[in-house]
Amino acid sequence: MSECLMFGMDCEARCMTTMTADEENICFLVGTNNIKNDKNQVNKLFMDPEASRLMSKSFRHPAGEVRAIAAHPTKSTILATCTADFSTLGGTHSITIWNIEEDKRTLETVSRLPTEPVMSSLEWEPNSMKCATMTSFIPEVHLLDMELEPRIVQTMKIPLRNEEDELLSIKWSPHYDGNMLGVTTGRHSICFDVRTQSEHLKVTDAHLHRTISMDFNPNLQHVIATGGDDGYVRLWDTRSISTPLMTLHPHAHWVWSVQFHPVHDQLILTGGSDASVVLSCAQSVSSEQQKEFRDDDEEEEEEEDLVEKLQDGQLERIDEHEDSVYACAWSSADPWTFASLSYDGRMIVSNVSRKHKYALMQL
Amino acid sequence: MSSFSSVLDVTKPDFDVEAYVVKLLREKSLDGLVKEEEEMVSAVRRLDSDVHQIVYENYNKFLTATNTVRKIQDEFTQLDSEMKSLSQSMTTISTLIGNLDGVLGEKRDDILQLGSSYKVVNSLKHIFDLPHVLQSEFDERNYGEVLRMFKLAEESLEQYKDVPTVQTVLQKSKKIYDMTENQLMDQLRNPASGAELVSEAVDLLLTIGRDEDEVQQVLLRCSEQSLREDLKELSTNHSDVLDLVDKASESFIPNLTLIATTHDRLFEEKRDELLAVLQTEMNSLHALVSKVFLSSMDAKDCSIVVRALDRYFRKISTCRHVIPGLDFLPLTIELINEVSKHEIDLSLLRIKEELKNSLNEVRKALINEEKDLSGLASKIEQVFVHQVKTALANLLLFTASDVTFANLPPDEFRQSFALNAHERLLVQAFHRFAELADEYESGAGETRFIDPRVLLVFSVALQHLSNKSAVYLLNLCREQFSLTPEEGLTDISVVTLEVKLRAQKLVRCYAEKTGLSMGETLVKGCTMLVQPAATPSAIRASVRRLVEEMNICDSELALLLGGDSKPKEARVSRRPITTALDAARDSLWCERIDFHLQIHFNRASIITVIVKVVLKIFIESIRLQTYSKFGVEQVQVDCYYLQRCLAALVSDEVVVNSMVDQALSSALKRCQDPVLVHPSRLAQLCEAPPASANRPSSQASSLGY
Repeated sequence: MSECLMFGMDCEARCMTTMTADEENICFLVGTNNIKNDKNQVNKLFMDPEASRLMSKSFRHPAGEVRAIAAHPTKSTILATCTADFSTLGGTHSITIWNIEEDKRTLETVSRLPTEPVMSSLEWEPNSMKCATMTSFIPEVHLLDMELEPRIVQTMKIPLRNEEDELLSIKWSPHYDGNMLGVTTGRHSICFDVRTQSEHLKVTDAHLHRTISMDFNPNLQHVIATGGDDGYVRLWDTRSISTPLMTLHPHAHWVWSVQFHPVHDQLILTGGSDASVVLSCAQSVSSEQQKEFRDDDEEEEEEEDLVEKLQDGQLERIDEHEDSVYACAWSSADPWTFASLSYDGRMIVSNVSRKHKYALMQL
Repeated sequence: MSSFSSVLDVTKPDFDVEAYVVKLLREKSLDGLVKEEEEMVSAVRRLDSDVHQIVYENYNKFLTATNTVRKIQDEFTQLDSEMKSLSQSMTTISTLIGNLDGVLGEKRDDILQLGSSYKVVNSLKHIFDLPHVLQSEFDERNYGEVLRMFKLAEESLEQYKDVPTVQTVLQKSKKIYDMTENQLMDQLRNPASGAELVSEAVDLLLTIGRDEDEVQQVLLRCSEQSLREDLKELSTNHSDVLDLVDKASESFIPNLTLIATTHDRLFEEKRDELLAVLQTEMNSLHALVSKVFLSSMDAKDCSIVVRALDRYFRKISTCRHVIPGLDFLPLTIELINEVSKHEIDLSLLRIKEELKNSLNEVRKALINEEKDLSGLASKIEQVFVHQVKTALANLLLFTASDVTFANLPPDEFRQSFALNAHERLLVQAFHRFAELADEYESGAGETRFIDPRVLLVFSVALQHLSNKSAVYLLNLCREQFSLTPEEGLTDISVVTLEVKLRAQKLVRCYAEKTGLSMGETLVKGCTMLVQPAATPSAIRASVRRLVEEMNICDSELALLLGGDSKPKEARVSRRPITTALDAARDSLWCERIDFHLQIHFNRASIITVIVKVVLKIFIESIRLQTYSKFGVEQVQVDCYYLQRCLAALVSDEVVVNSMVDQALSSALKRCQDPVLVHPSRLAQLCEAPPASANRPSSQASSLGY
């Protein structure tokens, strides 16, 4: 990997998101995770377009450590975090909406919703503008209206298969107008229709012990990906969930994050606690594969002299991290850029290599 | 000189006694003379007796001759008298004839008339007999005679057809004639009834003026019909492919050749039409045979298939000679090639099935607490080797010396077949094996929930295979089919590499899965440990249990892969972390833990991977928590214990040290106000219940959480 930029923060960090609202600049937000209150900050990392360097602006996060971070879907100055402050006995936790004060180098509280437990996940849905949040040991997902202030509008009970199962992650489906929420709990992955609060479908026993992350295919609404503690990534066709569509084994340890490419859904980005980031290809079950099937009859001859097609499996592995990678994300500004964040505060921004890019665009 | 010598030669006429004597006297001594004299006397005596002899013999001959002459004379006299009596008899006969002539002269005309009347009556009788004669001839199947006689009769009777009796005769005869004609047509329509009969029928039909084209058409159509019937019979009534070919060579093919020869003899110039018909029929047969050949489903039937194929091939190649222009040999060779491929595919399927079965058996055995992992591994390997060898042996049947098509030119069959045996069977078999490994690795279907030891056994089997048996099998195949590497064979190293790769993948998968399962106890242990009320008094049960499980796993691996399972003496010399500052500094020096290193097939290497996974899980779980002071202390105690117990197992204890440090420093980071336990107390705590530290699992279960 030649095209790979690195930035080190002096603080542990677990959560990172792309700046959804900014479609011009490659920009990511990173929240640090340090039990010492005063050290926490939200870092805004962006590419210096001329020097092709990673630049950083850090903003003090006065409410303790950042457990989850979500960028406002349309306003580039607004973000929300799940905070945890252990300075007092028992700790104070909240979901807070912040305004980025570019000049003051600090975050200004817009509004704040105190929460009893530490919320561990925050997902902002761009259609309904709702946020979903949850905590590990309570089988509930809260939906928040974020318009003016975080306000719980709906609480969904998650039926557990097993008493011991914990909630591990949530994710909005880009389909169904923001009404479909994916939740991973224990070994299972469940999709909820928030309108009826009913289980839409359930992939049981997706992974060995826990399904840590999941993502929805942006182009095929019946395909989801799950990443588990067994280091596997499995793609499922939600219409027939007994066997996975495809099984990849990109990691040797827990897969903490799995992300479909927002456009080319054959690209799957994963980060795991084996300190590596892997870009895999699932060409044969992607939307483009199916398009090809349809055109097969007419274009058979053309097919043959196509530039080499991408093979299923691992495309690139980034071994530059030294600690577990907890978050990875595609940039919303440049389709070929992605970032990954490891616990030691190292942030790596890389590009899909030219070879693979051309193969994808079939140039 | 000659006159001189002749003078001295006794036998010559101008012998001069004087000269001879003078010569003797002059030349010889006395003794010589006496000897000469004695010789002369004896010579004279001999001459004398010779002369006597000759005289006696000639005399005897003379006497015999005289006797013979006398006898001849006597016989002549007798003959003379007999001639005389003959001439008398002749005279009497001539007078008698003269008399008879006179008597018969008047009646001659009557006799002539009588003779001709008799003839007429006779032929009339013949005419009235005609139907019977025809019938009997018909009954005796002398159709030719029937037709000939009828034709003759018809011609002559035509003029008398006004006579009623003649008419009936004609009608009756006509009926028989028609019957005959029909009979002939029937004969024609049944070409399988025999070339003789058919050609006779055709000849006769032609002679009685049937249209040649029509006859030929009928013949062709009927041939077609009968061949179709044969074919129908074949297609519905055969037990297996050998039976089919046998039946075909008993009915269809002989009929075919028969028809062809018959037709050729009769309608030489219409060959094209015949060939067209035969071609279609042969096509149908070939299609049927091909279908049956290619529908055989069991690799065990290979010998039968080869035998059938051989027979079919022979039939077809004789057919080619018997019926020029009808050449199905290329198609048959193509069929042979296809069938051989089909058999290869079947064998391949079988190999895969057997492998699957043996893997399922391994799974069952492991469920039933089978301990002999290496036995299971070698069983898998053996099943593969055995199955591949069986398949190769089956394929060798195709090239056996008694199989005719094996002797075709190599480029028509043998060459491609041998290549297929290597590429399509053997290399593919390895490939399938590897695919199966992939399936297990990716956890497709129910293999997602299998015992990880199945993966271990499988991977050891693959490793062994790649080390030895693979090369053996590839070489065996090359030898059996006399292949040389120049023929574009897949390289041995490519195959072994493929298998090795799978072995590596599987063993990694095993190590990871085992590590994950072991780590589960730690995860659960960590979530319980949020806010302990007091300073730790012992190592947590889940940590103890982990170490025990690790030891069991270690000895299992040692049993399977060899090598010492005795843990090395743990080095306690390492300075444990005592302050938070230490931890932070140590983590700076922490080496990156690489999870993707090559795994070697020995105990230490595999256990290292397992330990890595387990410790990483430990770290991950710690990082998700927030600890109180006592919580960190507990983690520290656990880390110390883990370091002591696990470092001994792995090949490079730096890995364990570094990961344990990382765990502890992670815990420190998750605590507001960390305080560490003093090292001396650590050692004390770890040895507190020394009895249970390295106990077998029977005790572990009673410990619980």
